[in-house]
Amino acid sequence: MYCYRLYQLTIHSDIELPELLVGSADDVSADVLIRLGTVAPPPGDAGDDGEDGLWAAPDRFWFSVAGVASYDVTGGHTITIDAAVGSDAASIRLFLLGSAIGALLFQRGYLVLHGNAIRVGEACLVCVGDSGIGKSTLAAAFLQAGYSILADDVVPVTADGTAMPGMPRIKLWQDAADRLGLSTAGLQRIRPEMDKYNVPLAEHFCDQPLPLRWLYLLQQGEAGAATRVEEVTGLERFRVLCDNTYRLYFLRGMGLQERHFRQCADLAGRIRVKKITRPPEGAEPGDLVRLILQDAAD
Amino acid sequence: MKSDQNFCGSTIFLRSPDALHADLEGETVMMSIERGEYFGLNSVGSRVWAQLEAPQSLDQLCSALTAEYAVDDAQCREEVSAFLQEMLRLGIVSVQA
Repeated sequence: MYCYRLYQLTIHSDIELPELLVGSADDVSADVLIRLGTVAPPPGDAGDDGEDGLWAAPDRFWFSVAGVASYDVTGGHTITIDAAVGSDAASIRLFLLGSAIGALLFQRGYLVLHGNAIRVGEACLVCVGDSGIGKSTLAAAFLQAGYSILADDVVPVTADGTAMPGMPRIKLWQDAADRLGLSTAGLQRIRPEMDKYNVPLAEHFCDQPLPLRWLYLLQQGEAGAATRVEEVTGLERFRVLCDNTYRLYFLRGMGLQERHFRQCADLAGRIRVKKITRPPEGAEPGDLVRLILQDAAD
Repeated sequence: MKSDQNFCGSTIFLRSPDALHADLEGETVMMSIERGEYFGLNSVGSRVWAQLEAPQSLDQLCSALTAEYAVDDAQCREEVSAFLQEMLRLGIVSVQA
């Protein structure tokens, strides 16, 4: 049995999770149990055909990834993994530390954002945006500039607007690493067939919760226009938080839409929301970092 | 503006129980859980929504709004009817049976 700390929760796990911070052997009671076991398919035919599936109810969340595993998340405290024949450990962990943990955090009452949380002074900022827009590249650029990261991909936020620290690694594509001059030699792929790597953060991991003060939405603008930062005001702030919630589509089945609405409205009132628009051909990650830090300092 | 009125001045409107609302720096954001949609209310919409804290008819709504704003009754009726039509369509208000 392995012990870990993740998002300030004590984890007891049947499987090894090398990406996580090791917990204390004195942690006798666990907030979260991760077990290997048989997972009963959910009611209806969501589970039968060997394809990817998902099923959500207020008390139980189930999903299945073909060739990897089925996952059951219950009560905000137990994740059961039913590994598929021939599955690899890295893939099992990828979906465990993504969708399964995401569902668990929702069950535990957090608002979970999809982005990267970077420490700035005694607070943090979160960078969000569509898949492929460059969030991980930007996070790695912050690292290169000497900043620490609280969380990558999954950012749980409490009712008082505090972001929880996750695990001391970020996931980075090979071409982003190339762009930043980072070597991936010796690093583990997140899945055997993917060109994306687990990059350890070491001393650049911030392991304390920090108040979330800024949210930066990365988006693509017109060709040739210079990169710019603009304030997002009024209602649109709410929309940005809603749209950039982790696995938003889980919430309907989980019966959490009302709570999510309130959490987004509340957080929108507490933080500065900005959009940073870069041209289609991309921007120098270092320039984006500088622009964001300058903006946050105002 | 043509309004497809299927209600009259005395029809009573009420807020739907599954319509969520929150105030964001003076703007009202609303969500219909059933439809999974959220949207903002403009100033007319925000005032009408606020008035609908208690069930009201179009007559009552216009009476309150013309007292509050310098707008004539005909214009008020037109705007508020349009708002109510849209809110009916979105399921965030309903007609009292």
